[in-house]
Amino acid sequence: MNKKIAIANRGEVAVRIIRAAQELGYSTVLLHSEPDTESLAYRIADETVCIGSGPVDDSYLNIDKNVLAAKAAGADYLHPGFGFLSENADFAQACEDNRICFIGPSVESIRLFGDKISAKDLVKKAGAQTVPGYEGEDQGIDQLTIEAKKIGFPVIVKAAAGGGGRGMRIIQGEDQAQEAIEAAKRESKNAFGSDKVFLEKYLDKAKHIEVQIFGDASGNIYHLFERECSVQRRHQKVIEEAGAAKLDSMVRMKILNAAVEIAKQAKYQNAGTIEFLYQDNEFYFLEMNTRLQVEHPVTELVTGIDLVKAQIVTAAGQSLFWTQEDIRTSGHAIECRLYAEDPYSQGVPSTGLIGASQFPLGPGRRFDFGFEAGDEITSYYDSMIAKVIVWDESRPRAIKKMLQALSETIIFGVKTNIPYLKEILAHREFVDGTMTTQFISKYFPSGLQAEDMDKDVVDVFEQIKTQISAESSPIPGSGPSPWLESWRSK
Amino acid sequence: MKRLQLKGKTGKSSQVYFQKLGSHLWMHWQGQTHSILVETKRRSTSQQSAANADSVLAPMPGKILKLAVELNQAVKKGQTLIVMEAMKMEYSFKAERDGVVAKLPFKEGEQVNAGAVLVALEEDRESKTNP
Repeated sequence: MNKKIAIANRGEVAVRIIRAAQELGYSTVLLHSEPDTESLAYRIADETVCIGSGPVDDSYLNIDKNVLAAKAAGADYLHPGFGFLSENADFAQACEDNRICFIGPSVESIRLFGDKISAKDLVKKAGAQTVPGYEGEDQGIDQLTIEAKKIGFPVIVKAAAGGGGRGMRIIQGEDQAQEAIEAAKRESKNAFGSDKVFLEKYLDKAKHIEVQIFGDASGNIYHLFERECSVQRRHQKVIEEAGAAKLDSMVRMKILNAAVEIAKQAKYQNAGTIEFLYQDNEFYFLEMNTRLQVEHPVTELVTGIDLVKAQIVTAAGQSLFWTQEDIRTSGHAIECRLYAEDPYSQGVPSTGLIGASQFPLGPGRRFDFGFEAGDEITSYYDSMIAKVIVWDESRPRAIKKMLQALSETIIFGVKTNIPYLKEILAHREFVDGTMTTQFISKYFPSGLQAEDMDKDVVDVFEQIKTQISAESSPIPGSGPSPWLESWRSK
Repeated sequence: MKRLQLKGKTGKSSQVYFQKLGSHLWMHWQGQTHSILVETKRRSTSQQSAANADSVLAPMPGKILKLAVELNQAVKKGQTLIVMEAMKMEYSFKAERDGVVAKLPFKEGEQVNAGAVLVALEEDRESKTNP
């Protein structure tokens, strides 16, 4: 009988994992919430188990429900995807306790990097530098405010258990400190169950550079080169690319080596990403994500390596087809995250039924999506509905290809950030490749400005309306069907 | 989704994709997606009356995290009024002008629907009588 992999996630990443598992000959069981029966992952999984209701605490963030369902389904492995419980050491431990192999790093690695303070200690041991900050146990608002002043504004407050931009605030001056720290604590408590925060010097013109790391089943550590994710909104990535847009080759080498050293120090196994901020020729360790990243496809497109399959193979104790010498990059890849939101109303999430979707395939175009026509985008979850990823021989060509692909992408029923993405892609600083993590707050602080509808567009709408009314008006002489009438009369 | 071939003024033809979904008509033409409201429902009038600049409306369903003001409190333009969570992100709403909090119908932790009035401001009576 085929071995079985449980997928404790939803949306496009669940689809990505199910397909990789099926291609490797595994059977799959999707652990899903009640509203997610209308999704692509639900339709393609070999088996499905509903573990709870829409709110995440009752389903995707519930350790017991996930583990019990995986066990009852007879799963040998569990893939957590990203977000939700993917970086929760207790979850990984609970899987191991129930003889389900967690597809990811060891429980110890998750714990080590999950605590930002022990992570920083390890990074220092590996010889890399971290951003100056406060990591103390005194979590009082007053103490934190004093420490922020000591570091010197701007300061960033972050959730100690965090990631993905939640529980993070920038404090520009002392007068903002209290409100920002309170908000970060609340968001952190909500998202991660702990309101512990720490402070860091905020680098105000840094690039976000990260290194894809992989540890194989025999303990070898590889890097799969770097990605750049400087285009971020409220610390959530919007556009990612591989390799970095503009990076000195000596610096690149240093960053790659530093990342490998950190992973070696931790005896890291499976896929992970080490994030750095790069400013004024110095790079600082930001965090290590002990899981698959949302932006893993850009690395896959430039290296030709399937990271999800590598994860599964490694969890099964098998060897990979490649070692460091085999990993080469070619061309340039860009990913855009499609969010269901209104770019003309400051990015307010847009929910509703998807009436139609069309993803224009072609050479070097990849669409990772989890919802199709007939599926509903609810307010329970993150508003990312799909990822558009392109590859071409050079960065300028990849940008052009992305613009073209986005222009041809159709989603009806919910508003998307496509117009916003196109503005960013066409922006001089993005095209030059000199953008920093300040890019969006500098140039697009409140999304796009709403404009009046173009006269040509109004004309087209009028033509469509005429067409619709012509189709729906009754043809003279054709009454209701006699069959229907007779059926009704019975 | 349907398709329609359009003839432009110069004789150049273009293709438009469209679909009517609920009260909206959606279309994709020349690389852009647009939607317009084609049917108005009766309840939209009540929504509109609440949607003046003096009220903060929930832009989407979510949960109230923090009330930063109290009923009858005088507030300044730019002051944070209320914080809500939706789709796992926090949104804080600030006063668009000076005023007094006239309505604050929800408690912290309460779920709200899209379009619900979260805070309503009225003119500061003192500043009105003593300009």
